[in-house]
Amino acid sequence: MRCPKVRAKLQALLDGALPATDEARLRDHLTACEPCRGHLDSLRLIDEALSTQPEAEPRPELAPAIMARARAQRGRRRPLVPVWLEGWTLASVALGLAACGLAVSRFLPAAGLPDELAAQASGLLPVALAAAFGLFGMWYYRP
Amino acid sequence: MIAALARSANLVLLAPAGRDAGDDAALVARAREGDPSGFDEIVRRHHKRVYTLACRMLHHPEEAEDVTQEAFLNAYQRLPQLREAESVGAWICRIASNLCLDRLRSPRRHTEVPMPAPELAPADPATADEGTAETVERIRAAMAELPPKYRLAVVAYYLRGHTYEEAARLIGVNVRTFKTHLYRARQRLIAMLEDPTQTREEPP
Ligand SMILES: [Zn+2]
Repeated sequence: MRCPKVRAKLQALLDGALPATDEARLRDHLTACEPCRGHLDSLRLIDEALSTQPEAEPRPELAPAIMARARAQRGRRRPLVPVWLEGWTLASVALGLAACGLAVSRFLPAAGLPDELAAQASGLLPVALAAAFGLFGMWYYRP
Repeated sequence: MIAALARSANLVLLAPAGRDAGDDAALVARAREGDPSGFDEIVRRHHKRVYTLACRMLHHPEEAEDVTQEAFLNAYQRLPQLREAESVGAWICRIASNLCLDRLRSPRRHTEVPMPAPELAPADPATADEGTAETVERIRAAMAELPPKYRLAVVAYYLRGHTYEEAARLIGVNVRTFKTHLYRARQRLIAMLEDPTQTREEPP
């Protein structure tokens, strides 16, 4: 076994996760190769340094502050629909709005608007409505 | 009666997060039903771990507090979307991990202030001689020089449990990716240990 291959397996050796045959070959290499032994020592040190770290101690105010903010938030944004419906509801309402817009814009010329304006409105209105609703949805369900 | 006993034994055995997982699911259910004390208890139970994760990622106590708050509030809003209620703690850690990565990658982030004691405190003086204590401190300081995603792998692995699967789930990557990140992180830490000059790339 060559050094790079040995080094890729050293952590598994430390974790006791190597098959016995691999382990024997690794140990043979290690007795003969000083740099790899040094590598193993470093890994061991790293393991030790990081697993003996004390847990961080938050200020005692932290937990109550989180609870208070959660309570303040309560009810402010209750979901309108069950979660699994969210995407489809938004999409179908947007589609419905677009259809309404299209229907309304059909009657615009009859309402006495200049033809050119009515033509533009009939194209833009449904798109604008759907887009506005989509933006609202994105805002409402923002992460 | 026997069935109930068997069920609770099962809950304990199958619980992904260990002892409190069954209780955690009950707390989530209470919070979802609108009982705020359910969420209070979730905060009480998990905020230390989330805060520790944030501290080790950001090396900055105030920022770590901000991230902890943000993670819990985020989780609170999205509680109806949580599928595995019994692993709510891991879920909040995952949210916090992503918040930490966002912050570390933000170009506006100021330079890191070294964390004060006890987070970077030397190892237990009773068990370590002076040389080892210094090395331990160097290793913990070198963590701050790792690229964020590698650092996250190391932090998650040593946070609790020490299993690849649990740590990978904690930060929301698959086990293969996780192992790669952990391996690379360790290689870099070794390189920094062996050659301290390469850890300090002073910004202008
Ligand atoms: Zn070798």
